[in-house]
Amino acid sequence: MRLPRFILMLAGLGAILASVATTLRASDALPEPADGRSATVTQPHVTAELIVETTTLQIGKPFDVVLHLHMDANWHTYWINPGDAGLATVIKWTLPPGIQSAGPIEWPTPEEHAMGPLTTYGYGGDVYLPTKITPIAALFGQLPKHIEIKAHATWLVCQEECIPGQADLTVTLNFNGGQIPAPDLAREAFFQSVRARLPVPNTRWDVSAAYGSAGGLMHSGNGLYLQLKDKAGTTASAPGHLQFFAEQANVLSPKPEDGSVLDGAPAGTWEYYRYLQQNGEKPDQLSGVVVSDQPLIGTAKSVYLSAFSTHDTGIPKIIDSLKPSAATPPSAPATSAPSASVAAPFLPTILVFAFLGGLILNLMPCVLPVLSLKVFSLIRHAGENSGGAWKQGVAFTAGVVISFWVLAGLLIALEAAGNHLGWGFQMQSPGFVLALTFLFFLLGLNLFGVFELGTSLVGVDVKATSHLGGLTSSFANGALAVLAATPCTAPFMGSAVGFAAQQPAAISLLVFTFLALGMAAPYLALTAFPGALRLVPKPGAWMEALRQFMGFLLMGTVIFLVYVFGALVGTDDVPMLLGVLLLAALAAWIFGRGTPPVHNPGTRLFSLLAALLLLGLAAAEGARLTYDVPASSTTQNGWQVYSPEAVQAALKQGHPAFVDFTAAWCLSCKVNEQVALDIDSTKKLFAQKHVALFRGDWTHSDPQITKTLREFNRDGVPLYLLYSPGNATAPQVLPEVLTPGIVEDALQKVP
Amino acid sequence: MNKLPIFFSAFAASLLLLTPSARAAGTATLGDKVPNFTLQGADGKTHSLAEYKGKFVVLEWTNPQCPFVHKFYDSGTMQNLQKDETAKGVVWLRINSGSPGHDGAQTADEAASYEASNHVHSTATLLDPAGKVGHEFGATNTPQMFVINKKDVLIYAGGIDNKPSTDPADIASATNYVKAALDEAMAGKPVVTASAPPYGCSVKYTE
Repeated sequence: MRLPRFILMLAGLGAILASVATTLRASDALPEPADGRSATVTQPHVTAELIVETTTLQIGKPFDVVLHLHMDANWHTYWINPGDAGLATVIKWTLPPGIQSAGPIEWPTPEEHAMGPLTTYGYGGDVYLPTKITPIAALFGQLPKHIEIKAHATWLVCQEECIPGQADLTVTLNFNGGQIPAPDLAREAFFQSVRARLPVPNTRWDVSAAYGSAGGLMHSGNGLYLQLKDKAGTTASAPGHLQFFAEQANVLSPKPEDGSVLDGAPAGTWEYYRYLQQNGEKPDQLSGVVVSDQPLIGTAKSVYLSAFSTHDTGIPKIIDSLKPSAATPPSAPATSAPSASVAAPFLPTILVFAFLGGLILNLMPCVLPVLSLKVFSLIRHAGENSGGAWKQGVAFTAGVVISFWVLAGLLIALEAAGNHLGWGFQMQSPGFVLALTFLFFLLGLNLFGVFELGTSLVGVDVKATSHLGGLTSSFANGALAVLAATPCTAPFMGSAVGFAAQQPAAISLLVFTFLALGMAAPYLALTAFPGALRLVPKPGAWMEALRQFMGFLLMGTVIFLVYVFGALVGTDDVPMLLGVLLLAALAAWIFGRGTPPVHNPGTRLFSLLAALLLLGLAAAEGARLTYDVPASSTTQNGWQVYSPEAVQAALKQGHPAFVDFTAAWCLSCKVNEQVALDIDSTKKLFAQKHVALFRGDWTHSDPQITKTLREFNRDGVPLYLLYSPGNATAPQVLPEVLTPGIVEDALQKVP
Repeated sequence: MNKLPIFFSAFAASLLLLTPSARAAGTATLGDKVPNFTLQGADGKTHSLAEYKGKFVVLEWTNPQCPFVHKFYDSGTMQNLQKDETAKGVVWLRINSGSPGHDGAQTADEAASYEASNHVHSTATLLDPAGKVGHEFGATNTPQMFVINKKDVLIYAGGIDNKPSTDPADIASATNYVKAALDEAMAGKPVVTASAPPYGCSVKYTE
């Protein structure tokens, strides 16, 4: 924390030394014209006066009136955004007949002042605040000979202690019927110097900006990313010292070390990142001043950026891939430890989160049963041949890793083939869901003891006896776990996969590898440390109970899959599917009746044939069910079917629009809907704001939705967008885990 | 079939809760549970936020020397609001994060005599000379206000009202965001303005 400020002070000192040679310091007093001034008013630590640009009023010709505040040494007054604390100077004008309007204060480039650990923006020494005054354009009747312009100025002046001050100031202009006055060179020189302290208008850059986070993984939005693209396409690199000061208070952290230039920007483009103020606001537009110690436009070292959108949709992609530079701010706002000023390398961070994402996958309801299965078999092996347990772990890990590679390869290949697919796409295929339902159902029956399997069938056998069979089964279990995990897009895994899908294949594979390692880690740990294994209870009769209990978990998964199937092909077919499952159960039971202890070969053959016949019938019937997929659902509970055109139409009518991209098989989507969207308080808020509600159902592959997801850098659902009327291109992107509070906050930002 | 079996939702919801948070520990963030703190009170007792679990809590950063604080105390506005809200069961904690030796820093005795002479109606005045709690909440100004709901969630952070000035005449026409947030939250409504620019004197933290 101390080092950057020290460097900044050095840089500031250098800038001052450099500028002293040619010009006055920005806080020095200027030689003032002799007349056209108000009386001075002296208040504690501040002397105030007005200086007018012309002593003779001309019809329709605007002129400046400057409020000059002279402050005692080390005392300062504030900019429009005072920073961490303070209060901007305010002028209230009393305008006589003949004057049309007074504009806002044109603020000189502010200085940063450290107040303990806080930073404020303002002015020390002598500050000159010009305001543009516009006389009437035409003369209606006679104006008096002397026209008084009155200003009531209020300010806060602080050193450590703060003292409010005020002054009533009056300047008098002559009116001599509109004759042009003689030139006043001293006055012109003074006003030129005053204007030289203002930031110059931005003629150099195209400005884009978005809230986001530099880490790229969490869309928690803890910073503002600002991109300045040179209109002329020049390739000058960004100066080391560059800061952006927002005119809006309570948005960006004013601490100097919380803003920095980012490395790796494309040629002709400067990238800047600044942390947000803790618990501040995120307005849709910002304006402010870019300041450097180098000339930015001509000789000007500060440039005024007029209002720009903070929701440029192209930006989040860049945020996801940007690298903070060496002179990087600390990684967390406000309370970060000093040591945090070293930025985490980007790829390793991604890999750590991929690993964690993989770890969390184990807790997903679609994976837990598979893992339980495997732990169960592990317990057996602990009893039988404990020495080889770690091999099981390695085999399981290999199964997980290789399946992830296969998935990654598939994803990359499909991506290359131009297919706009996303994570979880398998669950959009009714055939796949049906097959998975069958598989889990039969596994469940197996656990219940309806039938027993030999050593090799399906490869997910829990009763593997031979050593090789055990390893193969471990491997297959790993693969099955991955397959089953895909519908459970854990919140931040979505980001990691989204990242991976846009990276070169090698990095993608690396990310997927870490996802896989994360997923396999607990199992590997359990097998690698026989000590932990010893903690696992010895085999016994309880195992049968446990095994049957696992069966219930699997049946729970079956219910989920049946639900998904119903959403895919329509609920009318669900009884049919249940019938098919019953048929399969019958087949399994018959098969079970004919396996050892039954020794009669005739009985065994008969039961096998009957089981195969029934199973075939069930499969055929099931396959028939997967045809004839109906069109996507219609309007429901006030939610309309999403299409970009419908959203634009709602916006044109002046309604905000909320889009919920969801899928029947997406657990986190369903949870979000039940917890934060389909609740009375949120519905009420939606109604109050007249929000048009759209649901994009991605249960079936929908190219339009896939395209929209991709635009927002997502590979899967959920995605929540809140459009404000009048801003059709840059909606607020809500996080992947919703709370009623998040939705409320977002809605409050809608004008 | 329209509804996902509820137990799956509950299960998945509990998993989502396990998702690591991007936020630094010990940081009060809007919409999240606030970190607990324990501070010495002007009454000589220690006060911990956890004591007030299940109640609305207002945190008011204050500095007796600050003209913006004077604006609200000399006019009686702050005391009246404290009186009204504590009568409704709200816990009102004034916090002085002034570092000893700095303008407006108080000892427990000084804070207690200030309370008496200014007819303060808060639940307690707490001293945070190290600025730890001030930094956790990101308090930069005096006055600066925070409202915590019955579930320990921060529902308002920012200035006391929408008229940044030291002029007491502005109070009558200003919207008091603390009162608004409490009224809305007590009525079970969402807080319309959850963040607003704080204005005032800087908190006199230790370097």
